[in-house]
Amino acid sequence: MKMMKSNRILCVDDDADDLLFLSQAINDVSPETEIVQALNGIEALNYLNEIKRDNSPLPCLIVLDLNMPLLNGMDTFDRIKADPELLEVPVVVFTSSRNPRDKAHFLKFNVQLFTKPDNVIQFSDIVSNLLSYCRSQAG
Amino acid sequence: MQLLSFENAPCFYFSADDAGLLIAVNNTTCEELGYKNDELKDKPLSTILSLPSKIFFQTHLLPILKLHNFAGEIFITLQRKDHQAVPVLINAQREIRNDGSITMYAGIAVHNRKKFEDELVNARKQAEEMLRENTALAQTTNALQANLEELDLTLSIAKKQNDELKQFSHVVTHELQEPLRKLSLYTSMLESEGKQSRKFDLESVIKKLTRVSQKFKSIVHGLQQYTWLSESSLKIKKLDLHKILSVVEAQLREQFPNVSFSIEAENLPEIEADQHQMIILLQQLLSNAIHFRKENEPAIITITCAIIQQNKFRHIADKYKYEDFVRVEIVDKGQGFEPEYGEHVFELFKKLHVQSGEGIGLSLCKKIVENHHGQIFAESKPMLGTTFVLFLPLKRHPLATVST
Repeated sequence: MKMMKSNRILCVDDDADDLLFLSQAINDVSPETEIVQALNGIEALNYLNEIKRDNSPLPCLIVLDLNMPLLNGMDTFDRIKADPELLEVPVVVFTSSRNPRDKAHFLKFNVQLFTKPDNVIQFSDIVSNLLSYCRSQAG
Repeated sequence: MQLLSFENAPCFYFSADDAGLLIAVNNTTCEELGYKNDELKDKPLSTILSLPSKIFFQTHLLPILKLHNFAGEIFITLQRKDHQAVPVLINAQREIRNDGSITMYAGIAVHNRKKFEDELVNARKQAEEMLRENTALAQTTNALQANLEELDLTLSIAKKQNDELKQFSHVVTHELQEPLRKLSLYTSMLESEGKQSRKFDLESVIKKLTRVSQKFKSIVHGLQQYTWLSESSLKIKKLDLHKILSVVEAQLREQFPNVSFSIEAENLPEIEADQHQMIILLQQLLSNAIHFRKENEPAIITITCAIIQQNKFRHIADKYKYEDFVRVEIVDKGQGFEPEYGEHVFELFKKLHVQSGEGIGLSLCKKIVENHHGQIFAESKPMLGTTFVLFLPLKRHPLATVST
């Protein structure tokens, strides 16, 4: 496991239970990580744009769900990609979708897709895996 | 001045007695028939008649002459010495004299007229033939048209059923998957109780389990409503849309008791449709508009209608039959949604907003509209409102008695 600095992770998911689970699991592994929650793509993009405006450091990782109202995961990712600053932030997809086409789509952009497990033990393992994509930022 | 001579007059002129013997024959007649001047004198009249005319003479002409002493515009065929036929139109006059009666015959050759008559008869035969063929063609065309209409209708129904089946499958394989996963997750939590470092709050897990089973219930209920719309047959009758709207408005006042909303409608026509389904349709669309109004603003909804002609053929290319449709536009100035979801908004359980209900309302609307062989479209921009456009046929097509 890589050494991680205290960093900020943006979790985007419309399901409050999954968000809670994810946050708790991340903090189990890495207690110093700050977690920002967004309930859908629009909220996530609003937050990211605010950070850019304030010149605050961007999150070290974005964990993105796919099925969300207002703006779904794929469309959110497209908009992130279109922004040269946001492009720098690593993204992983954490979704209940088991569709291999979704996985293939994101692999094209070098983005890993993790399937939400139905078992509490697997959850912790997956979260550790997720966190390895977190990029430590200078300052 | 020379006395007018009938010898060389430009006509046939001859006379015969009652015995049928020729008395006098003018020069023209002899020449036309190929005889020398005196060859025909005292010969029987039948000599210069063709066989059919001989018979005609005996059976028709003679009796008329005996009765009326006159016969006019009689068509006979004379016979030349060389047996060639000469068509002639004659008048005959019988004179009764002291020493017997003579009949005078005067006539003109009508070669051209015969030809003309033959052509007329032919033309008429052809015209009748063409009319027969045309009638048969018209009947075939009508039958074909009716078949095409039925085919297009069948294609509509098949496509609709296919779409619905796809949506249904999607719901069963995807929508239900998520609650199932949660169920599994929470029960695994209960199982791991004590085995993991972190303790799970039992009460909250149980609450979540209850919520998940509620979610299952609502998905199944939604599917039931969706299925019900296919199974029931339509009870079509003439509906006054203004009356339907009043009923729906009253329902909405009950559903949203503390919400400020207004519905303006003009030009709502009479339409042949199923009353129950029309009420559900309007209720869903308007309740959506009220539900997704902008915060702190009343919901203002306008409904306008126009009668238009639309091609009733949906699937067969290059076929056109225009029927009366009503174009209904339902406009609200609410939250709207991203325009790219315009088509997806009608999918079963599709949720575009955070505070969405079960997400089946609009798919029910689409089903109802399609049950009536109409179409529905949605246009929207976030924060600028939503417009629903519906096309509904004014009259129920007689072929379309199959409910889908």
